[in-house]
Amino acid sequence: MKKILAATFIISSFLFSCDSDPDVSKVQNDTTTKAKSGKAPISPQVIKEFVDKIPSPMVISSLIRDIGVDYDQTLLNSIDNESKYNNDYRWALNLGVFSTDLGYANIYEKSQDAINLLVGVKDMADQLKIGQYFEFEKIKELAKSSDKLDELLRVTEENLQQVNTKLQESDRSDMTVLIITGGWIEVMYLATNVAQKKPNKDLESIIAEQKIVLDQLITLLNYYDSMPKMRTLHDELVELDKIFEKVKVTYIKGESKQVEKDGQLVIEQGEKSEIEMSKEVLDEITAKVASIRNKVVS
Amino acid sequence: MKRICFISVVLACAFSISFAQKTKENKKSNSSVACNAEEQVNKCVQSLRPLGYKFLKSYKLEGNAAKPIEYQYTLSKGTTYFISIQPADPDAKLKVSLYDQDGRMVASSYNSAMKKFYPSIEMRCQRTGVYTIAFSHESKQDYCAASVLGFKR
Repeated sequence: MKKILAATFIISSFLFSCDSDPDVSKVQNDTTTKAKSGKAPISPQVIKEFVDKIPSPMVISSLIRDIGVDYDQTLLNSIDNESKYNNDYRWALNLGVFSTDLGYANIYEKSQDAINLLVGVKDMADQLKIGQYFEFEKIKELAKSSDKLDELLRVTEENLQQVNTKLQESDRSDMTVLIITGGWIEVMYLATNVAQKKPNKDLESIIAEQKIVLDQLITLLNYYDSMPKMRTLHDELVELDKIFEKVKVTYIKGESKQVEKDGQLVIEQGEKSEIEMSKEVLDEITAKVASIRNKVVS
Repeated sequence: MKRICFISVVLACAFSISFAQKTKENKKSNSSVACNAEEQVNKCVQSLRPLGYKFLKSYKLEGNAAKPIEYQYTLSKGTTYFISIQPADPDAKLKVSLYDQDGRMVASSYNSAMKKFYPSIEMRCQRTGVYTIAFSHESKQDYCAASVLGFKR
């Protein structure tokens, strides 16, 4: 009896300590995502934690603009491709693709393109029956004003968060994983194409360090390996990961320092990473990303 | 007599459990009504633009001192991040700490030497990786707050 009580206590303590987000507890009572593979089922909490830590494609889109590269509409997915998408897998991946393209157009303040891409986002979301969680009219209005970028980014981010929560609650976390994977593939496609046209050390560095994000996506996709399309996408990303293994990353230890500047606390991070990536490896990454992306959008 | 005593004890226990549960529910519902994290998020978002930061993520914080609220996020080398915190109670001693992938603290909005709480932290990331953003509160009371993560290159 004592052993049972002790085990119950340990298990409940573990579950409690995992519940770092107050919102998650509401989700936690829902069914744990069905085991779509032979592996242990993945809980909504674990998916949420993974999704939360994937960086926004906006950081890379913003860097592309900041290095002085002109806006390139030809890099974006065409709305005309929409008719080719005919199942949840493709709608979810391309919802991610169009969302990244929308962010890229917004960063460059290309409001007409942003509105066209918003149609793509809406159509994909409607097909997935999650359109009701996007405030399309509000986003459309914000996209028209160049001085409301922050509000636009916030509304878009909050809408996507709500979509992810609803998908997880309705046991469709595989769709969440595809949306974020599609978004990442698209931003990598934009970044590698720009890096080929205008070599830039900062851009190459951020591309090289995407292995960290790629590994997170591979781990997530691996949970759905009994689904053939997810398995194929997983395997494609594993091949890309093998190319990333040729990138050399060196970590240099150091202590962080805190200083006060104009009443703000500014941290100087002591530890640094240094990247070595040859042109050949960048070319390989570019080609592989383009190959994966073309399968997604065409 | 023994039976009466037993029944009284059982009733008293049942009453106290039910009372405790109701009090807890009321407390919870009052706290959720009182906490308007949305308003705090708006204030945080407004602080980004004058400093040249773009919005990245918002966190609505409803918690207590018993356990810190933690989130993870992948930060990229060469990007400067800004985390601002906005408690509903301006006197609340709320702090945000940033830990690297090895669990080492790289930043905190609380300066222990000066015993000072800052409303934000700014850090230029030198190593891409998954970082933990932990929010904690000094007081033992429940708190309501929001935080926003912004970035600039």
